[in-house]
Amino acid sequence: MNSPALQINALHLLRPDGSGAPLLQVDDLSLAAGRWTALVGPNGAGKSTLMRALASAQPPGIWIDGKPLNAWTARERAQRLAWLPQTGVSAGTSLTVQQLVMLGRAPWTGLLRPPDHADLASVESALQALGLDALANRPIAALSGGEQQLALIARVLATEAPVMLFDEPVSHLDAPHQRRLMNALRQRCERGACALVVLHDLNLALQADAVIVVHEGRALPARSPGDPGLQADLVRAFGQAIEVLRHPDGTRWIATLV
Amino acid sequence: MKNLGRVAVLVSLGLLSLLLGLSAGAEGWSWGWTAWAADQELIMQLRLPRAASAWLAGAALGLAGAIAQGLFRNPLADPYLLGSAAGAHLAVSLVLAASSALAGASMLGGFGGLGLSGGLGGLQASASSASGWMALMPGLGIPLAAFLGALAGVLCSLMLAGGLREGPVLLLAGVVVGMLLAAAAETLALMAPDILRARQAFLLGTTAFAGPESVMTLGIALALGLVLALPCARALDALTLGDDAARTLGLPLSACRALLVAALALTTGAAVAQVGLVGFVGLAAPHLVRAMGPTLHRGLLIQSALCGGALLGLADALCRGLAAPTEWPTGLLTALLGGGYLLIRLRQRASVEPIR
Repeated sequence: MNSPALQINALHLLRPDGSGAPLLQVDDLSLAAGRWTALVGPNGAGKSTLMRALASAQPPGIWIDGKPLNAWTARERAQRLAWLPQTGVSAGTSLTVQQLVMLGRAPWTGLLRPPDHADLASVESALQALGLDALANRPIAALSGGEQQLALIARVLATEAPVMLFDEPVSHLDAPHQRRLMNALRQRCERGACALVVLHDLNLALQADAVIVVHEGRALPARSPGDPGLQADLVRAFGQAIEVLRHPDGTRWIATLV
Repeated sequence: MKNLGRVAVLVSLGLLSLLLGLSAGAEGWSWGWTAWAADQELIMQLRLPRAASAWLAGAALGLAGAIAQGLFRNPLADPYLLGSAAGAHLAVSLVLAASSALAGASMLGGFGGLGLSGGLGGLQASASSASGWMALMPGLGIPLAAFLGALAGVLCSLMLAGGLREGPVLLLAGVVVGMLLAAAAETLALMAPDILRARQAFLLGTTAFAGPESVMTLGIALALGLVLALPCARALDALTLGDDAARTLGLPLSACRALLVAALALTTGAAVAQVGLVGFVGLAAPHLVRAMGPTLHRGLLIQSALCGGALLGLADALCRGLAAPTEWPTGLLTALLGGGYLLIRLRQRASVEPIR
């Protein structure tokens, strides 16, 4: 049997403030190729810290393709795991959209190799997937916040990594762009990638193949959106009466505050 | 504008600055080959090294400014941030105080064109024209002190920050070190007020003392700076994504940081040593280049160097030619031009995007 693309076992994360207090415990979490998983939970629950830990490869207990994350070299790791943090681009950047998205190819080109056809093709396909082709040669600084966010997401797609981590990717995005992002994500997963996506919008999270709820310092087991246990997890985590219903069109699930 | 076009414009401006600098003498600008033939010796021995030094020092500062702004992801960063300026300031004050103490305060006579022996060595000559031991290393004392002081300032900042840290820690350490060293230099000036006048030339920046050795030193520093920084250009591009994301791109970021800080210290130190604390060139050059259109850091580094060279070269030629035979301190004009330009940009930006 193939090992999962990303596997986490007995991972204990501390608060990033240096107090040494425990923040989040992940007993068993695995992402299989072809599926995207939503990570939801209240603010401050440790979702971003988990993302950062996965991206930094510091703590033990994380495997990619069956090999401990910190056993890969930084470059091998970067080729296999791409991460969109919450930080935007820095002020005064002088890159174009195309040049920024090309940074997603840095794990393959390294410092010195000029981009080749494969790199250009990956960038092109990432731009197309998010509808950014027309903006490719515009300076990043001249774009709106939502367009900048799309360019940053395209950077992650351009890496063509089998594991993708997105922290709040829909922030700054209007509804059509959110849809575009979700479609692009789905497309990538159909081609064999997997993704872990932190989302605050429960209705978007319910479009995922699986949902993981963070509650009281633990990542609860992943559940499919139709799983009746998911509603109970959400109610416990958010302390609100949340109802998960099948949408009248029968194709998806929606969450409502009761 | 495409990269090649920009390089062509910037190189042309640099050549123009060289031409203006070669033609600027005590009687203002003199044109034509007859005038040049008559002044040939003057031009080759005095004006050429001066004009070339101005261009090279500006280029070194432009490169350093682009590195600093990329490294600290801050468009307001300038080459003097890491304590290099204050370090050089203190070291120069120390040397001036020492030589004036040795020579006796009566020997002081401003900084008028005594020393052409190399870099700011002339300052020292004016501070101690008859002193014994200083005469043994003509023209080396002040530039060497400024260079070592600049490097020491950067090292202090690095130590205070606990090494090559990412984020604002190093920047803050640089600011703190800069304040402390500047305070020390001011204290020294209080105790030895006779150095004030010679020190002023250093603080304002001037090419008056640049000689053939300055051209060589600056040329080597600029070449080394480019060799160190250019391979790291893609790392600077990556840093625009923020430290977190940049770290996950598999690039050797720590090594690049070290190389870039080395290039920054080297180019800034060399420029400060030869022409003093010329302001605004390092800050304005990368801004001017970015205003011409988007570019990767590879292009930004090269073009900022070319732009800084053209800026300081032109400023220097203007300072010498406009009010001849009087000279304005070069640093005054760069501060006026650079500050004015940034002010205009700021106003433009404020009118385009009201409040975010």
